[in-house]
Amino acid sequence: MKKTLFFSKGDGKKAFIQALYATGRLPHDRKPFPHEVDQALKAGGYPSGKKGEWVRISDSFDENVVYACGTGQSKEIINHIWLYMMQIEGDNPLQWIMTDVDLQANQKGFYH
Amino acid sequence: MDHDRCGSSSESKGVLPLKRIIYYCYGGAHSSVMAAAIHLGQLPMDRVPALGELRKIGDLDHTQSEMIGMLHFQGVDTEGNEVYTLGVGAEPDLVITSVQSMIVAIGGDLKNYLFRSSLPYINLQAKIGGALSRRYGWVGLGRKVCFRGILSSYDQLIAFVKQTRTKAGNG
Repeated sequence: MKKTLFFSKGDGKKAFIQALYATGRLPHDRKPFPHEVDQALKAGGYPSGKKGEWVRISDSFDENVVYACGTGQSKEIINHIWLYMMQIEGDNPLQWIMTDVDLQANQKGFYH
Repeated sequence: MDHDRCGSSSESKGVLPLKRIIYYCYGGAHSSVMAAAIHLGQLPMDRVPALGELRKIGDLDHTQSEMIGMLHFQGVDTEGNEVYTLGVGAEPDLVITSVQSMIVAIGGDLKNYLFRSSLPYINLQAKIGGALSRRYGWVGLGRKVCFRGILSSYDQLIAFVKQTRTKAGNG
């Protein structure tokens, strides 16, 4: 099982949008209408009531789990802590795909 | 600010079966290190220590700003709980919320954690001294100001640690 976290600065809107594309909640074959994006964001739990929360976007029956998170201005700190928590809890980092959407936003295959 | 963060399902029960106590503050260099040192018995709980005793605490006023976000294992307390310190920067609530949800996401149990914000338990003098030393590099002056500030708010730190030990089930 792969686990993916999409994260971006602030309240994580970019990360949520990317996670919605990754889980098929926004269309890949055309540009979605603004109201579709708004509806999908709302359904996906954006904005999170708790700032910094990892919101699970994928359904529970999905094999691959997708999360989205807004990191505020604390992106590096959260990434640091994640590595330590992986060690403490004994999870396998290779199961995880950590995607900084702010860095990836202009690359091919990413939607923005 | 929420100073006591743990699994919501357990909060209402008061005393928790915890294994990892994480003291956190802005830089992880002063209040969290002090709280951990008191918790682990490296500093006294029944009196204010001498300045020389503070200097023996290895991590006190030594953490660099790039080490914010690094979890420092400080030791195991008398009840077998692991004690850590952590610098969380300027957005403590956001960072702790993120850490708590990442713990769940990686399969951990929040009941095994107790997050304690130690920053409110040192006074302004200690905070200013700490900033002079860590942020501005005026170590000599900053450390002097900071340590004196810490000593004058030591009673608050003791009360905070006692409260933490009670919450952790250490009595």
